[in-house]
Amino acid sequence: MHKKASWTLPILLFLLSLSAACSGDGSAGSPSGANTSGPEEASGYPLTITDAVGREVTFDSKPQRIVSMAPSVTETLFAVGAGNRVVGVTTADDYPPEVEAVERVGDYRGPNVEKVLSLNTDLMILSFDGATKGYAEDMAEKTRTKVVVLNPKTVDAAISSVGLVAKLVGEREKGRVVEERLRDELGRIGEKVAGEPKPTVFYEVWGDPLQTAGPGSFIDDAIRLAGGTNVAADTGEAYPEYSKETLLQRDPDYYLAGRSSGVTVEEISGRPGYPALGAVKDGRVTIVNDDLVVRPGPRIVEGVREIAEAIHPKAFD
Amino acid sequence: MDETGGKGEGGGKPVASGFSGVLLALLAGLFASVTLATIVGPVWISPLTVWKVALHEATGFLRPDWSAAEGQIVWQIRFPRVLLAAVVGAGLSVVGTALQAAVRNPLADPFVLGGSSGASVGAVLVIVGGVQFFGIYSLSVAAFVGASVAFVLVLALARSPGGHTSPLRLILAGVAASYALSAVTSFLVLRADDPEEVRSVLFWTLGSLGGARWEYLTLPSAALIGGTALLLAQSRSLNALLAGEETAVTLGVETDGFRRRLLILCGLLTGTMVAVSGTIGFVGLMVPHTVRLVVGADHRRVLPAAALSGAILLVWADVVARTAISPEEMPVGVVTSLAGAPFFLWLMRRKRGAFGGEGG
Repeated sequence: MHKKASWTLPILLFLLSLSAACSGDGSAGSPSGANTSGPEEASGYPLTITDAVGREVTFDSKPQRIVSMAPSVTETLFAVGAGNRVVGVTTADDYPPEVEAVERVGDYRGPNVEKVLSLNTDLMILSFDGATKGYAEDMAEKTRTKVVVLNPKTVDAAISSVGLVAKLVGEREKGRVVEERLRDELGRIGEKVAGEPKPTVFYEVWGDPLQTAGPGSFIDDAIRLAGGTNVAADTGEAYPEYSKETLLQRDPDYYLAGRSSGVTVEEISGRPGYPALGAVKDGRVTIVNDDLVVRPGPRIVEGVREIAEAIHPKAFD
Repeated sequence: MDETGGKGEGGGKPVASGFSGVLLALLAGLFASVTLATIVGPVWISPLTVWKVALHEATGFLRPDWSAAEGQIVWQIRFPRVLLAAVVGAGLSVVGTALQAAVRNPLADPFVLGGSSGASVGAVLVIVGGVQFFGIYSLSVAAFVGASVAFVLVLALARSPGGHTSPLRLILAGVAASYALSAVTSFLVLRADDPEEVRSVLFWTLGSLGGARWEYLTLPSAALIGGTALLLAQSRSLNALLAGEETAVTLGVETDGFRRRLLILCGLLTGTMVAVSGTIGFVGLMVPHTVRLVVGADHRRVLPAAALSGAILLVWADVVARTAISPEEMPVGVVTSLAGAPFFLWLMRRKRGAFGGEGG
């Protein structure tokens, strides 16, 4: 009988449809996913922005009590100096260390309305695929908070959204500085790898069953920006289960694996068939900090850099 | 009910001669399936190369004139995977057959007594909770322990104050335990911080043979052979159980103790299969029924025929799972259910009767 099938699976499927947070499949409007317009006066307010789902939101003054519903947004708020105004975050938030003290008001599936209401907030920033226009409007009404949806799909859009978040919270100048620093850094990485041949790269999200990062994921974009070619670029989704045979046949130059699955280089090298991989034979298996590459926040360029250093060791000597 | 075993006199008659033909055909079918399945895959390797690699690896003959990658694909990926599919398919079908008799319910499958929800709790603890006590075997060990604990729990719960274990009590206890354990799984999944972990749990619960390695074959094969032999030796009692409690008692079967031993055996077998493949649905439910429709209800026929048919079915389901959307893979449980259900319904509508316990 199928109690599990009739119960757990629908829940899982439901969660998956809501999730894929910070990853991405779907569409976005402008590169940053949102636009702003407003008078160019010193305070910057009133400020009207159009968010990633096409909603116009107007702020009369600087938001003082902010709820961030994505680790990437939280990191951005702290990076632009608005960290002391963040009053609510998700259970997944762990950076910067100061965030430990902030109240948890939800997870990657969305906020707990009662908790948000109790915090008397004036801005909530959502950034996950399930955050549709209807969802955002409903949430704004229920929590009596201005809701802005971000949905960057590429590393470049993630950098732009740093500037946007900064503008929203009245830290335009700091935002510009951070954005500039990120673009410079990305540019430097690009220059270093520009003349190099493009190695093929396989990125492991999970080992058993083997799961990788395909088109539409930040990892895929990060591999490209780091001067590599994702061998799973021809898959149909962001995080597909991948064929080991095809992996062995394509024999990627480099094999990267996300740290959060707890995998080790030794474990990977010992898997059936893996000894035939060039990456295993020549010691080109690297564990990377996947928090950096799956979060479209201010550390994403560090993630690109980590991948670039792994796959172009000579260029970064 | 079927003419041979259904009325409870099974065991007396010799297995009819036509059956050896069926068995031979199934054996040949399994051999052909395994052979064909190893030359089919997302990567094209010529059949000649596949057989040369196999011969080389098995006997040491032939100098390799194929690439290292081809050798590894054939011998380290495909062969263990195809053979594991055969073993797991056979194991699930045998367990399903025995359980349908043990609880006298046509809806029984290897997971009826909480096995899959128990295994899922174990797997989720590893995937989401990061419990890693046994290195690369953590997931398998956790799934096995989860399934076994669920089984023991259900057996204990099903026991009446008088020490009696009826089929109805077993099923109810199984249902209750499954709900409770599924709730634990859901809770753990909801606590996950990371959508990729949720996806990994989903892939695991839908079943996959992608993790196959040679080491994974030893225990399940031993369990399958030993378990099937034990069950075959008990065919007469199984036939009696399927016919009904009273018939069984009349025929001198000590039903309570027999059922208990039977369930423990099934629990161990299920746990072993789940540990290496996740929870692959429908095989253990459908294969025994299908086989009964063809060969009758006598367990001396049903058990071997179900083992072979289940093996063939899962080998082909896995071929589809690994090639249909290449280079991506599909969970094999999706294939078994999607392809198996229509076939089964078609067969059911064509034939009447012969369902385990139906009208018995």
